[in-house]
Amino acid sequence: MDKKHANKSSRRIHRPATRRLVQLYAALLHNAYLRGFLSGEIYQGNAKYACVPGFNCYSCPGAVGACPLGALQNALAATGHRAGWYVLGILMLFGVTLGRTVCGWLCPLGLIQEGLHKIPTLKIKKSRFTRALSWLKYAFLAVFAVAVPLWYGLKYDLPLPAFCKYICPAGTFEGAVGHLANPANASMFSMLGLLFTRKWVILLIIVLACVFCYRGFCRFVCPLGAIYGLFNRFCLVGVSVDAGRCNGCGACVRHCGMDVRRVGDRECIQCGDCMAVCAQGAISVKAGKIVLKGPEGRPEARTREKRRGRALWGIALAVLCFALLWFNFLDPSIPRSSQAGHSWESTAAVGNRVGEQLPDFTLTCYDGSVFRLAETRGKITFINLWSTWCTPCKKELPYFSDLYLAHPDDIAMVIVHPSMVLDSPEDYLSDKGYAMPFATDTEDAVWSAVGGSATLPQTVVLNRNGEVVYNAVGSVTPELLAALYAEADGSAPK
Amino acid sequence: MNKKKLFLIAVSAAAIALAVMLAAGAVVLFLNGSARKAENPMEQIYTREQAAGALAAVAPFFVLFAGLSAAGVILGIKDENRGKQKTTVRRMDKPKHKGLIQAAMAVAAAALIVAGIINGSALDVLIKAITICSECIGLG
Repeated sequence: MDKKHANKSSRRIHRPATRRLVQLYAALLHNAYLRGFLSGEIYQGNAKYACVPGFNCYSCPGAVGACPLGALQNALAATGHRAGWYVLGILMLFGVTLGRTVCGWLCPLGLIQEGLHKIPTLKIKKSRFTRALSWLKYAFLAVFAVAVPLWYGLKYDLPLPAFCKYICPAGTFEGAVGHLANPANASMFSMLGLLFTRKWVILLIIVLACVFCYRGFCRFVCPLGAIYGLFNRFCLVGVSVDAGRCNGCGACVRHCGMDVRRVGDRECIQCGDCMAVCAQGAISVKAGKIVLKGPEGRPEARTREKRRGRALWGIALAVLCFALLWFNFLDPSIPRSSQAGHSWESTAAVGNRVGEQLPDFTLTCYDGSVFRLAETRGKITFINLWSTWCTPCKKELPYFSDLYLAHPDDIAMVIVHPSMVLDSPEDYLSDKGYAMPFATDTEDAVWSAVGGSATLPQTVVLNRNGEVVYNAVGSVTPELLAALYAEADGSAPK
Repeated sequence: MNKKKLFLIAVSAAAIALAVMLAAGAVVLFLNGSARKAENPMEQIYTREQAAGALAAVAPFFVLFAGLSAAGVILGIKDENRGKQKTTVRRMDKPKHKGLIQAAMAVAAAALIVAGIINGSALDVLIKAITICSECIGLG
């Protein structure tokens, strides 16, 4: 009898827990644009108006929503133009409804961290030192996610999401590595340099920390967890302790991998794992007054809970199937212009790759002049794609201006803004004094012609015959521009 | 020192060695690439082929680490000591007027979202999310 009972309980241990299934489900729902992993492009539909609750880079090929932390930094950087009420409202809504339940149940990065911690190595124990270290994430929030973006936005009018740029492991892993791993994005290697090397090393340090220390990133670094932690005492869904049953034995706190002092405090990720060790059955996961997961009660209550669980899973799976269908095949808001750029691959002469000729296009510039590509033959042509919300784009504009002034009769140049306009490019340029013409690609003709993507900046250089000698995304330097000019000059005689 | 602890130390060492090799590979690629780029600005610092080569060089370390990890998981070996520490337990006081605070926060959040849609900060979110900021994800 005992042996039979032991076998039964060991089978139960190896079954994936409900929380793990929910984490996997949430990770898939956060990244439901599976086509992106094949094509190497990101989802560009309207669902990205909404922020997802968990930490998930919106540049991940599969992401279907905006990262709340990236959105917060960009909103703070844009404070000089408009207050970021929307992101603050969304964060407050997630905070008051879910709090750090997001970390324990929904965050894809939380799932990855827990997976890494399963690797059988020596583990760093929870201690006073790790508790003190848990305050560090508030410093990351204050400095990298709030102060630096706000300062740069107000002082220099440059969007600088410092946490994303210097630290975020999700951006490096899901965004950078996610794109670089796809052969379709081979041209992105041209952008890599010191920044990538630094972020790669930081990613490895964070991964290693998560192997040795339970949720190392979540506990010591994550600014999003820090924000949700502030709401933890007031959130609607979360772990609840029945004060009448609790005898204060502390088994829950000792069992917990996080730096909690009490169940439900700012460090508690509301995972409910402590329910298993509470001999008093005082802990349950509740949504308001509804018990979602509680201590084992009477058989009829358990049957009711099971039935409700099955119904919830049924609804959840239906939502997932619909999301996969919608984001991959049905969503009419996904622009198709970027794919249109590749349709010229079938013709030998016309295209946007090195050695091919760009299809003709015409643009009306802000100064009233008209830029016709066909009329630039005999000159070396530089086409640069930029936007007012792209910091590296803004930084490299002076280099283009200097080059244009150095060869005024030998270079044709146009700097093109996408049709989606947030802040008027003309207003931004009014006091800059750049020499070259600027235009907005109102009909997406240039984007289609040069194979423009969601990645900015992009520079295209044509020789005097109109053949592409360079077409790549990424920042340029004055040295590279000079070298490109020389190469274009040498590839076709005057 | 028992066999289990030795095994855990071995997996830990393999994990650290793998991470160090991956980091060192990237640094070497960067230094070599930078030197090439200093001579010729048209050169790339990283190339796909070189990155693949660097990863291939680390492959034996990865195989060793993955093998040890898999063995540890299958055999159920883990550091039993984690989480056993003395704790002073304090009970969480239920905040007063929790329901009222929740309702006020939810209303404030909804008002902020509506204000954000009106002032254009929702469009801000969309535009940033549908374009890849190469600097922000660490590409460069």
